[in-house]
Amino acid sequence: MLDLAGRPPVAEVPAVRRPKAPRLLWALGTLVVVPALIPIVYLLYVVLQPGGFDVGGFTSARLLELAGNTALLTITVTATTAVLGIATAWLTTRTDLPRARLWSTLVTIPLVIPSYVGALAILAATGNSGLLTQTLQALGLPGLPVAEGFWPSWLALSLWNFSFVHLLTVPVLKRLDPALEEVARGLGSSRWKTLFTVVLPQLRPALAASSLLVALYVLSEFGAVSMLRFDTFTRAVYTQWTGRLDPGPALFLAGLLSMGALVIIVFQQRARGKAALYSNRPARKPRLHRLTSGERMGARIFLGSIVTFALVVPIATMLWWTVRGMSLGNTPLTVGPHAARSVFISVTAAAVITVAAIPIAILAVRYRSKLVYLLESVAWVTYSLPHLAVGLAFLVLGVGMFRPVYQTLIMLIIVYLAMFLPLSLASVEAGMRRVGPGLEEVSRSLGVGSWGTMRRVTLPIVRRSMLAGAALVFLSVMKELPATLLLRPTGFDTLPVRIWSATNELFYTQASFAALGLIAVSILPVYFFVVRDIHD
Amino acid sequence: MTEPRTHDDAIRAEGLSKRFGDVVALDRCDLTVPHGAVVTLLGPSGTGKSTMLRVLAGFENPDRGTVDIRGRRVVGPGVSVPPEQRRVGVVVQDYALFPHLDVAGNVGYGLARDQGREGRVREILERVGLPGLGARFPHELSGGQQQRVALARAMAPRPDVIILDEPFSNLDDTLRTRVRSEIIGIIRALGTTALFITHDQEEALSISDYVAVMNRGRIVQMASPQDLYWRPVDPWVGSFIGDANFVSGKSRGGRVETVVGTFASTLEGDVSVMIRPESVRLVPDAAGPAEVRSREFFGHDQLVTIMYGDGTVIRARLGPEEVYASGDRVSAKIDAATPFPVLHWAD
Repeated sequence: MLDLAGRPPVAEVPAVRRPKAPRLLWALGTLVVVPALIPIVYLLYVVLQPGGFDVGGFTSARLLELAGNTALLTITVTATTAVLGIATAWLTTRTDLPRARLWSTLVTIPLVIPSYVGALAILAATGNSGLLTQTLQALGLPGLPVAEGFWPSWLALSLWNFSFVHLLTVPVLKRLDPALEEVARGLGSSRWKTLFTVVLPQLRPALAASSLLVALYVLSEFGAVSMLRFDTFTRAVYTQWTGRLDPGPALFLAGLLSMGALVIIVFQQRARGKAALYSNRPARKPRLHRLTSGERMGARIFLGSIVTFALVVPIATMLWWTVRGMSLGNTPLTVGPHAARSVFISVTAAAVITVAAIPIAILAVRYRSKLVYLLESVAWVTYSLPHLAVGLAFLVLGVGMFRPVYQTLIMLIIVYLAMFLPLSLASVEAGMRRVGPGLEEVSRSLGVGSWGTMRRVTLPIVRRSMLAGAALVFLSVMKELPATLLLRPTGFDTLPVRIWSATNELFYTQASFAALGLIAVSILPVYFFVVRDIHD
Repeated sequence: MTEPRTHDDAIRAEGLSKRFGDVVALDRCDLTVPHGAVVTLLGPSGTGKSTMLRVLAGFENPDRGTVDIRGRRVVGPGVSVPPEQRRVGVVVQDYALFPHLDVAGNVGYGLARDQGREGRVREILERVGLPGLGARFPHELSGGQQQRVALARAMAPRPDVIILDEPFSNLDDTLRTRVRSEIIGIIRALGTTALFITHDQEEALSISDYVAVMNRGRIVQMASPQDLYWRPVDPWVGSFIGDANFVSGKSRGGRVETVVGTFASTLEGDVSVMIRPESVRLVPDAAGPAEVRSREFFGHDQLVTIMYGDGTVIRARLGPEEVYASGDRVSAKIDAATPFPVLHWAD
């Protein structure tokens, strides 16, 4: 039997039944992965080349300090997001809390706020002219100093990333086999003891996977830590690059950072493999944990304060700056061109990358082999590398080798292709799996040729997955800051670039215009393709 | 071996061979499906049954051999007709209904728009007992209903033959027998030529005009269910098709002597005699040559295991009313027995 609808092949004829893929498919599949391969090879070369690399004015004490700061931030943020993500997921799926689904949606929405926009909100809320300071002073209380350094960075990265953990934990919690809990209760274990000894341990694979995702993100985060002036590797790379003509030291630091990311990727791959074991859906709905009225009040206060700080305060702050700016004669129309550029480049990139994913997706689903796995892995590794490092690698190589496309939109699209290919790849592959060769064969045997089959069976089924993948790419490009900052054509300022430069120049009004624009453009695709999907 | 052949055989496959790397899936395999007949391809898993389907339907090309469908060459040297031009309907194990189309969309998929598609869809849905379900989507149907939609879809374009690959294996036991007789009823009523593929002996024997037994890439015997059961070509087919006892003996002058009795035989020399458990009758006999060892009671019948003095073990299928206990002495009467030359027993 061929593998129909994703079922494991029946014993009939073992794995050797694997037709050869057309050469054209291989050629295209390999071609689209080349951009992803370039930064990996180059960064490895930079770090490993004999004779060492120029580390500029960096003493080893300074390097240690940077590494320490980066590690401290990574560990604390990962732990915080794990606690917040699991608590919110459990409260909204496994208890009888009223309006649980609404709460779940509310704690997922902060995903549309990139950490650097969160950083902008923190900066614009504190300090002498900040919204919080002014509110507190109006109440006769002391104001807040300008937020800088570790704690604000920790807060920004935790508040605007814990939703990832929530998103990945909710489906697992929904699928846990209720029989295990019933058995535990039957053995005399109390509700809360059952929660901690039976329910939470089953979350470990999902938690490991999402925590590593967050860790990877924090390690490579650039915008928020730079704006909040906390000295991590990424900030040092950028300062190093802007301060000198020779990009060598910056590249070397970027290479080191990438090695850190590679270590995390290896762990992440392992955790992901285990997580798959837990995805079978039980026939029965899990029983809901009954909250006492006191617990219910506590849950509301907890979820309410998260939503307040992750959603209400930042948006209110930026709205406040917007209104204040407009009353002083500024107009939000000034960010119109930035928004247009952002939408244009994001839509283009989403279209290009979705189409580019098709050959590899076909290879991966229909002609699975070690070589396909290798192609996919290259794409995934580059996706997981810090964008700043990838951008810097392309920048340095671009000046030397890709003169004709250097600082053009084509270059930018190629870089996005290198960084975001796996997002559409995963979606298109998931869609292709739903088609299964069985459906296409049945269509052929009903008298419809291969083109007709493609048009009437394959495409209609894959379309929704392709759109979801395109939406993810759109969002990622929309929010992308470091690589865009380094590689954009002169004058091609996008919304993130505008937020970055305006914040650094303390033009909070302009930054707020751009940030609200960014959120407005992102919110619909996030709602339709991310938030809604997890509850279906 | 009975090989029914007429000039308008629905399928005639000759000398089909197919290898996947080191695995030989088809080994000079011949298969004939007479027009209007229901034939079952039966074999243990891993013997190339599904490869046969894929070659006949056009999803796979054989390394060697020819296939004719209603006298038209579809596979042969220099010929490979694509699946969409073969007029072979296929019903697969998991039904492979198009998830994005409703029942009417699925059933009408293979019909051209100008062919009076709607009328044909309505007609065939009625024939399979699903009138009025055209607007449902596959996920809204029960397993048995999905099965019938898949059948209706395969039959709608009036193919020359339909091939059904393990069509009942996804249904639970209680549903299975019912759906099976319904489906067979529909196929017989429409006079469609059908080739079933299964590894379930009981299923094969109960639904078919002819059963083709396949082993290691070849058809080892094709015969009517009754012939196959009582006159298998070798002990392997005999025991694959149903419960069988084997007793060794010497055959000479038209008779074979065994510890359980003497039987007619045209062979000479060492033989192995096949005795179906239902051909064995037991008689309580204090001086009998065998002793009851164990008893499995099933309700509608029972299996009683007896052992002779030389260690020969025989299982007898008896009616539910007879009562035996371990240690009882018995003698056995054998109603039918089939001797095989011992050479083949090595298989």
